[in-house]
Amino acid sequence: MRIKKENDFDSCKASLHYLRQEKILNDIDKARNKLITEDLISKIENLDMREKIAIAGALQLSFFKKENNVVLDLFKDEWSELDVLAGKKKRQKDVGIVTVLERELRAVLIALGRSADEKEDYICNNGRSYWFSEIENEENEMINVVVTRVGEPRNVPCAIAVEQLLNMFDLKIVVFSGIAAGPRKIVSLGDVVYATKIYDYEHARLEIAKYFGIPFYFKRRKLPRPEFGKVEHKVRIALDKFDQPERIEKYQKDFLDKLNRLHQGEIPEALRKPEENKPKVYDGTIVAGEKLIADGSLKKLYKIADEKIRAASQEDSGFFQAAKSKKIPWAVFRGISDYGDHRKNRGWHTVASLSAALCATHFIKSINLAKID
Amino acid sequence: MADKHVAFHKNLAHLFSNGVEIFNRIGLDYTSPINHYDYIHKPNIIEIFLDAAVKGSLEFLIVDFTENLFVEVREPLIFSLLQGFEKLHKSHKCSVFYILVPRIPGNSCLSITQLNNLSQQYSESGFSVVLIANDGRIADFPVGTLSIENFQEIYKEELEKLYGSPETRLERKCVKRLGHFFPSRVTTPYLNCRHFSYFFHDCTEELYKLLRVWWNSKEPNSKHIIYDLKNNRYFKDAVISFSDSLEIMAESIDQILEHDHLISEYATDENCILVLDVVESGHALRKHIRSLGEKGVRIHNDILVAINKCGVKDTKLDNYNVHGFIKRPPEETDNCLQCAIGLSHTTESRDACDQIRTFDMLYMSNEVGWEPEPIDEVPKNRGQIPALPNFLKMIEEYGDWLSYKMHLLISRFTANENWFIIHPDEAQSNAIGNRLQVPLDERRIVIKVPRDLIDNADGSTEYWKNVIEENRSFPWVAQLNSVREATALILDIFNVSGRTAQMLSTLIDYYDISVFGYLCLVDFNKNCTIYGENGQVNKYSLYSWNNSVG
Repeated sequence: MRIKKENDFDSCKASLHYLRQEKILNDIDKARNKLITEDLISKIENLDMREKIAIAGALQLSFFKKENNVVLDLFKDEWSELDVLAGKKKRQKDVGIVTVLERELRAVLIALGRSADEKEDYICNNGRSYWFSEIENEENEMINVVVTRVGEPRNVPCAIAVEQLLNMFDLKIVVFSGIAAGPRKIVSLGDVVYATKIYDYEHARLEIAKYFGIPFYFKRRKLPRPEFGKVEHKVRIALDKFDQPERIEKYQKDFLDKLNRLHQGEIPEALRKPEENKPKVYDGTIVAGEKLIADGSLKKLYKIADEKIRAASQEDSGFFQAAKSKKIPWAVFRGISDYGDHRKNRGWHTVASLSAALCATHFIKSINLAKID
Repeated sequence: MADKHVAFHKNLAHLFSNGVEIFNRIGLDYTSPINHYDYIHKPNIIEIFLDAAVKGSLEFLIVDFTENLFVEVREPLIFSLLQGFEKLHKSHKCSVFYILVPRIPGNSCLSITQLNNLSQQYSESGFSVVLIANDGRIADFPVGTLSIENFQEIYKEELEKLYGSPETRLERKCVKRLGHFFPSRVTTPYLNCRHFSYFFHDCTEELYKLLRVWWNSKEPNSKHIIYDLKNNRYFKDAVISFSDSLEIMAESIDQILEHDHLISEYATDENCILVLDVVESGHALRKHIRSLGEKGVRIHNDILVAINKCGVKDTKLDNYNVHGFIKRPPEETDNCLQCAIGLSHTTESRDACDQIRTFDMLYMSNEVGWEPEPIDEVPKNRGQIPALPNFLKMIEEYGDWLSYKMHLLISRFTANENWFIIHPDEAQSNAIGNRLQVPLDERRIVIKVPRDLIDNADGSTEYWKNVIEENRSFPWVAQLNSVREATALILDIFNVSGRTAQMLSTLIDYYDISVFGYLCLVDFNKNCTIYGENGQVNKYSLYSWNNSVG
């Protein structure tokens, strides 16, 4: 039987803390620090390479700081960063927002109160960029938000980005904000749809048709087998707060304020009198596939999914499946930028991105993270 | 500890001899327990011991089992004792015997029948035996042997002087654990983590007595007790035994809130007594009162807790008076330093590691202060260590936890019950040795070998042979003679070169006793090896401090 010892990394962090705290006044203090340092160095030997680098860096910096009286602290007193550096722990954030396109990202940054063109706060070694922000929720608590951009459409890249986000950050909920096509006459351009269900409509079985039990080799048929995701009940409760008129009013007011921060060229002609075209918020089913729908086939999907389809996208299936695999609650907000037909263009992209981003931030402000977690 | 026992036995002897100073201990010049393991497992050793130890003629003989559990003072043991008494009586060495036992055995026990037989058989020649229980009750054979006025009160007083009051004993058994305890109610890191967690070790009896004293003083007109003692099974046992003795109901709050029939039963009582293990902010207490109130269960104004963490025993919370058996200071729980450093949390229920965490070691060291190693305690084979934590003060402040950790470590590494402790006779080792007796129920033999004899040792058994010859009359030699069948645990405060442990191991080798381990608080030299009779000795420490001093 072996003696159960403390984790060496924790031991090193504790020694480091005491070395940083202690003042050297006399010979006993020097001898004490020597004892602690020797113990620390012997334990560094047992660490893995990333832990070693983290501790050695912090050790060097703490002595540098002490001896030169320079306020140089890489870790900003957040010693848990050592765990992150050593790959032992995820960074602590509350909410992750995922976007795909550059303009969707810019819209989210505006919604969070940052400048649209700000550079990323952190680039991971896999090349993924992250932007950090803080927003105050309705209970006056600060919520830490991390935003990322997938960079290309489709489900697989989105799932990879969400996986990377959740590996890097300890999140309580992950939210998608982007644009999508919506069914004409049911939704209008600039409106927002939040998902209650997501259907991956392209999942299908291809087989040879049979007539009276006899295979008819020249005819094949396609049996849809859609993947299906439903938002968690606790998230749905928070989402359904958008039913409240005062909340919609607040959201629309915020939309009109933030609209001024867009370039005039990004605002479509129809929105020149925005007071008359305030975005509405709908709940509904979102269908997600690999294809960009621009042929008016959106309504045909009613047969595969359900008649509550309010938007069609290319990423939401990958998004919800990645979040679900990590057991993290999720929500999707899609601004309607076109009707998925031949008249599709980019005129509404920026405004639809902004309306979705604002809806997402209003949702984040309204949720009680302790209940969601 | 021994001094207290001597005083207790002296006072009793004084009492039994009607004030005449006759105290004359048998055999040894100090109070030494017979090795606990020996007499539990080999009862006839008592008879042999008595025969060998009693040399001259005694006016009476006291045999003390007050520290034993009732189940340990078994029939074969009493039988063996009675045979020894009979021999002493027949050889005219002694005829009056007092046996101090935890409880008086029942009348139907064979030992009581045997006692009756012996007292009848030798009634003419003055043979008498008196059994005295820890509550002061007596059973004398023949009846009327002990006729001291208010003996029960006097005896209880004497015992209390020896062992301390239940409160004092409870204080001693309350262990203040150091760690990084995550609050169960709150999920936000950095907030409300605690550095200390308190728990009691083996103290059902003390809690039961204190509960009775409190109940008698308050006289609550109550037939129901409600408890929330999830983290304190000893208190739960005490509450249940107490409620059984009063024939009243006791049930946990969770059970009551879950079952309607319990709610309707408890709702009939206007003064349900609420018992909790700890109160600090009062949050949990208020929650309990609210949830019980919603179900129609009313709580008595006086609430009982094992530990009041408000710094005083009695506090007022809303309209309720909270009485704690012991008090502890409140703890600052905002902005958890350990979360900021990024240290893992420790569990409330048990320690995940055998050793002390670095954070706790350095915390304790800084709290008690650092100083150069006292020059007179530096062994000849090495230089002085320029800075060491003040270990004596550390044991004073945190000895409860350190000794408990040591106890856990020992329990994990030995299944053998028959072992004793040996350590150098110096302040620090004595302090930890004494503290270690609390979790070990004060029943291990502790042998203290003078430091100068260890320092002068040259590592040969020849040296110890001569030393033992010269020191034959000293307690530590006599103790070593009595533990030949046991195994030894060498105890020290810190290890640098391993010399002290090696010299003690050689001494034990001389007696052909095997060493099962060497345990120290801090090991400054993890590479040093100690050899005993059976090869390398297992080395354990509560903290391995790697550095150049070792």
